[in-house]
Amino acid sequence: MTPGGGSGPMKDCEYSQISTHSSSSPMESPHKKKKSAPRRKWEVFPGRNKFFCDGRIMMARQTGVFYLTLVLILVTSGLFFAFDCPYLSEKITPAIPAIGGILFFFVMGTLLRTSFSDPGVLPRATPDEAADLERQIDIANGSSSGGYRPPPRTKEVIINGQTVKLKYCFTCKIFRPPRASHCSLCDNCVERFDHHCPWVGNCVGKRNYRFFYMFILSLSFLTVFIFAFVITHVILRSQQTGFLNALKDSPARYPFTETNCRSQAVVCFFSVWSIVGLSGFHTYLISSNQTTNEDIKGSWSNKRGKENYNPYSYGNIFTNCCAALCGPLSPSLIDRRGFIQPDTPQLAGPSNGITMYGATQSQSNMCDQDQCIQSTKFVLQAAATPLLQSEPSITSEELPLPGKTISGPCATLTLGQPTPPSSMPNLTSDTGLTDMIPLKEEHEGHQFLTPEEAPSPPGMLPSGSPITHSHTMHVLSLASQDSLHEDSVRGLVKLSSV
Amino acid sequence: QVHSLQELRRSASLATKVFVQRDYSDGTTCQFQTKFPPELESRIERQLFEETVKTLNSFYAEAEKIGGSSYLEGCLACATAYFIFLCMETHYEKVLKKISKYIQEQNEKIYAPRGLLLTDPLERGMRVIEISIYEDRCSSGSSSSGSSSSSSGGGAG
Repeated sequence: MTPGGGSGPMKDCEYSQISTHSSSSPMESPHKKKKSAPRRKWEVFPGRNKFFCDGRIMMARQTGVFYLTLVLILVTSGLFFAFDCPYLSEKITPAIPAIGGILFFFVMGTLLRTSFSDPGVLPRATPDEAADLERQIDIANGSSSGGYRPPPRTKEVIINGQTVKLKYCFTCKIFRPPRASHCSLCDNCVERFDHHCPWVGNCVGKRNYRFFYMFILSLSFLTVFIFAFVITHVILRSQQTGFLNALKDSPARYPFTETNCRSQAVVCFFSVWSIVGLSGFHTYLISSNQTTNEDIKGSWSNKRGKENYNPYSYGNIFTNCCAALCGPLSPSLIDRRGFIQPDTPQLAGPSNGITMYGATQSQSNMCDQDQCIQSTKFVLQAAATPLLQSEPSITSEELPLPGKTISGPCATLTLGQPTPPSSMPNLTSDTGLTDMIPLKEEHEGHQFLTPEEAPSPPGMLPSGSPITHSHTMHVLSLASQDSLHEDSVRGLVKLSSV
Repeated sequence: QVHSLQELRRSASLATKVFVQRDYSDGTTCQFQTKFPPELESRIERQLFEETVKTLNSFYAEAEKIGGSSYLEGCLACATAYFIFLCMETHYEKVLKKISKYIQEQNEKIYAPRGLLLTDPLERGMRVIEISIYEDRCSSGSSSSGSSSSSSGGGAG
């Protein structure tokens, strides 16, 4: 392991290791690696989500309250159907359990839909995109920003005559589309973010808002329904036999009637107020085409200024409602069940605002010897090209980016090697490499080795563990960079000779 | 110097990528900027590129159109407590399939012969249209080095 402040000549020794173990070293990785089964994308999803059924179901990390919701609904409805319905269907009409059943079915269906579906998560930017954005931002800002964390970046856009500020998300490395917001609980940017609902155990966003609304609406009806008929049941029974007698008679024929009725009534009473209230609130939001987020912040309220209006509203309540509830359903952008392609770069775990490209090669186990050798020759050829042209622009591109290791060509050489060549003693090997690999993408003008062409060191996937270290702090000077270039090419020449 | 798509990947080296950003001036609907990126100046005719982006924009507009058929689909889905989505493909998904076919066709006919490759925006979270610029391996040193240091880029600043 090189000591801190590694320099050119040291690297040569490490590069030569690649040549001898070009195919085997990528295989030997500290990480557990599946040799046979290709992995699905949900397994390496960077957000804080839980997946079930091989990626079909997606929920937030904390699901305890969701189970509580389920229990409350199931138990209350169960008690209703078991103890009240037989009496009521006899006494009044069998339509009561029928309607109750339909409502219950609807409530469960929409609840599960809300909880299990993708709310509209925006996938994080690929390293190329992020680099491109960084470049543009730096050009726009003019100078390199001081400090570890650059000042917040915003972009202004005019939508229907209203100026909207788009914020840059440091975690996802994208400019958030309008109405999107980053959920800190799930650590994802969600489109048309409404709120994170612990009761359904998921965020509520563009893709599941209508399910959420139908859920609370149908649940309001269900609670009112159950509440009304529980009261009716008690009243009827008391009329029939006298209230106290009804309870006295119960133990034999209707066990725990008192407890049943009481518990149902209590649950329903409290639910009615809160859920009906919530339904009313969301009906208002839908009709004015706002999100909870916007309403709470008062983004479009008149108090901010006379000229302030909601640019997304269609003008009338009916169209707003139809658009929210019956509009087209956009597909999930995160492709949970897709297989990880060997040429697709994956993003690492939550980076929490640290400027770091945690992308890595796809952990595909298919690292042929052929592919490795071909790629190394490729690397040679590509790396040779920069030396033919002067690259003063590199520094302007890369130095202003704080916290990034600038060793483009060197990064490519470390593919397949467990230890990073430059001075990063604090790193674990895998994370060091994950950082190194995408950095070559920033090497503007010369992305001579992209994840598509490189052999994939499968062990380099950090498997979702939070990466919070300072390995990105090294910034090399121009002079050392030139020597690095030369050294790296020398190293490459050695490689290709194998 | 005509490359087929497969050949392109094998024989050419990726020089740079250009990103066409989203155009939010119309709200949250999916539209891409038709501004011509300077990096593509030497690679493809402006008109062809704009044509591609405009067609993609029209596809997305069609997918997100709020009208009679989308209402019908929405109401039907609601009536079945959204269970119908388990067996039915939504209108949006159908249009996305059309888009992916269109992109593949454009790549084969127009972009690959010029050493360019379009990536379906769906693979990039509908944020960008990624255009990969390839350099021909054989022609070393003739690289245009597409993205110059002071490029303003395809996206709005």
